[in-house]
Amino acid sequence: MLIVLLGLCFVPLVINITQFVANMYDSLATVGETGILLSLGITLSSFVIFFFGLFYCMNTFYFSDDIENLLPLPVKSAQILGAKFVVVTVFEYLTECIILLPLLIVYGIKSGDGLLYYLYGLLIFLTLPVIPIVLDSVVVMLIMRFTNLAKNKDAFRIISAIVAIFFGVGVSTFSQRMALNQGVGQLQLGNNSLVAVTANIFPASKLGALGLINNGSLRGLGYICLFLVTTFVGFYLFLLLGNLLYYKGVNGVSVASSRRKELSGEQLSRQTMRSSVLKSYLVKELRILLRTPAYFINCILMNFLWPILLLIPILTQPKTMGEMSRFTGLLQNEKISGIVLVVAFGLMLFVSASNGIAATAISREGESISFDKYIPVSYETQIMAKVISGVLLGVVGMLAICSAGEVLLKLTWSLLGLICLTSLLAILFSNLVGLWIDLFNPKLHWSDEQKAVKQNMNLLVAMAICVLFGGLTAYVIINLKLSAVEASVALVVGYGVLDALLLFGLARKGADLFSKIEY
Amino acid sequence: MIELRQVSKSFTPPIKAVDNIDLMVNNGEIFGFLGPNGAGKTTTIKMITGILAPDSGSIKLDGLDIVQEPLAAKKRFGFVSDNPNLFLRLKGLEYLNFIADIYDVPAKDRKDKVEMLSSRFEMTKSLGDRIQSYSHGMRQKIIIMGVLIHNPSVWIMDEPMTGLDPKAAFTLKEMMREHADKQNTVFFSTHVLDVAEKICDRVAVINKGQVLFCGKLTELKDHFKSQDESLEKMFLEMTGEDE
Repeated sequence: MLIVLLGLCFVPLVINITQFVANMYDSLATVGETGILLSLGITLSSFVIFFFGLFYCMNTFYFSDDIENLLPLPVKSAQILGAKFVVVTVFEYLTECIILLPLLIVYGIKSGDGLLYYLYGLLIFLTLPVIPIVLDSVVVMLIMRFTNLAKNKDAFRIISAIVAIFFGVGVSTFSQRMALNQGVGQLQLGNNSLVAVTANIFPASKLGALGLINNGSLRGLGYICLFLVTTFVGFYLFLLLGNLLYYKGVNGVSVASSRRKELSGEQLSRQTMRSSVLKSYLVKELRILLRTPAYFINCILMNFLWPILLLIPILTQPKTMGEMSRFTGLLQNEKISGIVLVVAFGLMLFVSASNGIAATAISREGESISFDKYIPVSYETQIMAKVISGVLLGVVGMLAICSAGEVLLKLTWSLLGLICLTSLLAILFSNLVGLWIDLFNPKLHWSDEQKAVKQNMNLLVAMAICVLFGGLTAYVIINLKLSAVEASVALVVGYGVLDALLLFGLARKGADLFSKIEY
Repeated sequence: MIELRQVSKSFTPPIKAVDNIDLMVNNGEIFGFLGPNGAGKTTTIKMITGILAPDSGSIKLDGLDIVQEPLAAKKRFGFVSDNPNLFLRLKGLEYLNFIADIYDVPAKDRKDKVEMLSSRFEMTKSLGDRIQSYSHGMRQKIIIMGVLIHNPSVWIMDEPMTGLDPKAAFTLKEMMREHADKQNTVFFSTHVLDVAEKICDRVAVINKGQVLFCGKLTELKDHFKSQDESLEKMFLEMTGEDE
C-alpha cells in the first residue's frame, strides 16, 4: 500500500522536475550557460543519493536478516560488502530515475547532442551513485563500529522511515517551488549555495558534468576517464576500509537493545499496577503496533501520511493558495456544507480502512494466536480490545486530518464538529468491517511481520468495502441535496444502525469465528 | 487433575492425529508425556489447553470441561508452549504484568512474586528489557515465570526444559516437585527420557495418536519383563523406531 502510494507521489515529482529543467535550459541558453544545469543536476543527484544511501547502507549492510547467515561463511568482509554495495547501487538507480534521468534526457533533446552524449550520460548514470555510497558506507561503518546505534535495529527502522518520508516530502516541495519560480535568479549560484557546498563534498561529480558538457571534444573524454578512475579508486578504498571496520561493527548488531539493569523497588511497584483485562489487552495491542517497525510504518504512519499528502501540494504552490481562498469562500456557503460533510465522511472511511489495524488484527497474531486461545479471556473481550485499538488510532488520524482541513479550508467550527461526530461512526464502521473480514479468513502463516500487514488480502477487501460504502453514501447525500445538519442526522442514523448491527453480530458470531481459528 | 475421555482429533481424515485416547492425571503427581516427533503430543496438549477443539471425547481440568466451560477451565491451568517467541516487543516485566492482569493476580502479591521468581530464575537484571533481546533460554524462563505468577493448580508444559541452562532446569524440576507435593498437577511432554525417568511419577507413551502405555515407570519395566532394559531401549521398542 505504502509503496503504491509513494510511487504515485513520484509521478508529479518527475513531471515537475522535467518542467523545471526545460524552463531552466531555455533561460540559461539565453546567456550561453546551459552547462550549469548539468553540473547542478549531477551534484544535486549526488546529494540525494548520498542522503538516501545512508539509510540503504545501514539497512543492507547491518540490519538485513541475511547477515547472521552470511557471517559464518568462509568469505571476506569485502566480499559480503561488495555484494551488498551492488544492492544499494541498484536501489539508487531508482532514485536516479526520478532525479537525474529527466535532466539527462531533457538536456540531450534540447541541446541536440549526439550519440556520445548519451553514452557518457549512461556511464555517468551507472557510476554516479558509487562515490556517494562509498561516503555513506564510511560514515555508517564508523558509526556502527564506534557507537551504540547497532544495539537497536527496531528504533532505527522506525526513525529512518519517518525521516525518509519527511525528506521525500521536502524534495517534492522544493522541486515544486523551483518549477514555479522558473528562473535562475532564484537559485543564487553563489559560493555558499547548496550546490557549491555539495560540489565540494562530491568533487568527482563535477568531473562527470564537465565530461558530459564537453562530449564533443577530447577534453570531455579525459574528464569522463578521470571520473571513472576516481569512482573505481573510491570503490577500492571502500573495500579496503570495509575489511578493517565491517566485521567488528556488524558483530554487535542486535534486534533490540538490552540494558541488563535491575529495576528499583519503586519501578517494580509502578510497573506491576493492576488494570482491567480489557485495558491490559488493549495496551498490549497498542504497544505491539507502536513497537514493531512493520506495523508502525504500515498502520500508524499511514494515518499521518494522508494529511501531509493533502497539505503539501496546496501549501507549496502560491497559485493554488489563491485558488484555495476562493474555494474556501465557496465552502462557507451553507448550501454545499452537506457535500463537504459527506466528502469528509467518505475520506475518513477510506483513511481509517487503509491503516488496516482492524483488518489485520487477527492476522498479525500469527503463531501467537494460540496464546489468545488458551488464556481465560473471552473472545468477545479480545475482539473488543482489537476494535478499540483501531478506533483509537483512527481518531488520532481523524484529528490530524481535521487539523489539516481546518488550516486549509477554514471550515466553521460547527461544521468541523459535525464532521468529527460523523467521522467517529465512519471509523467505527471501518474497524468493525475490518475485524469481521479478518475473523473469517485470517492470514496467520507468515514468516515476517511485514507480510502480515503488507501482503494481506483482507486489508484490500476491507478497503474495497469501505470505499464502496463511502461512495454510495456520498452519492445519495449529494443527490438528496441535504444540508450539513440534515446530512449529519442521516449519517448518524444510517451508520449508527449499521455499526450497531455489525457490533451486535460481532458480539454474537465473532467469538464463534475466533474459536474456530486454528494455526 | 486432568481427565481425557475418548478424545480424537483428525486434521486430514481419515488419518487421526489423536486416536481415541484416555488419560487421567491425578492431583499430586508429575506426569510425563512421551513420544517421538509427530506422535500427537502437541496436538493432545493443544486440545487440553483449548487451542484446538477435539473432534470427539471430553477433556476436563479440575472437573471443568474445556469445551463447555472454557473460561473457568482456562483459569485452572498455566501453559508453557513449545514456542517461547511470544510478545517479543514487550518488556519482560510488561509481559508478566499483562499475564497477572489476565489471571486476576491481586495487586498486593504481584511485586513480591515478581521479585521471588526473577531471583530464582536469575532474571532480575532482564525484566526491564524487551523479550526480543533475550536468549532462547531466557525467553523460556519468562514464559515459565508467567505461568508461576498466577500459580494455577494445573501446570501444562510442552518441552519445558528445551533451552534452559542446567541451573534453571534444576530450579524448574525442583518447583515441579514442590507443586505436585502440594496436591497439584504437573503435566509435561518431553523427548528427554532422562528427565522423565528422574522426576515423573507416572508417564504415558504416545505414538501415531494412540496411547501405548500409561502408568508407573516400574510397571513399564515389568511390562517388558527385563529389569535391565533402559528406558531408552523400551521406548524405542515400543514406538517401533529401533528397526
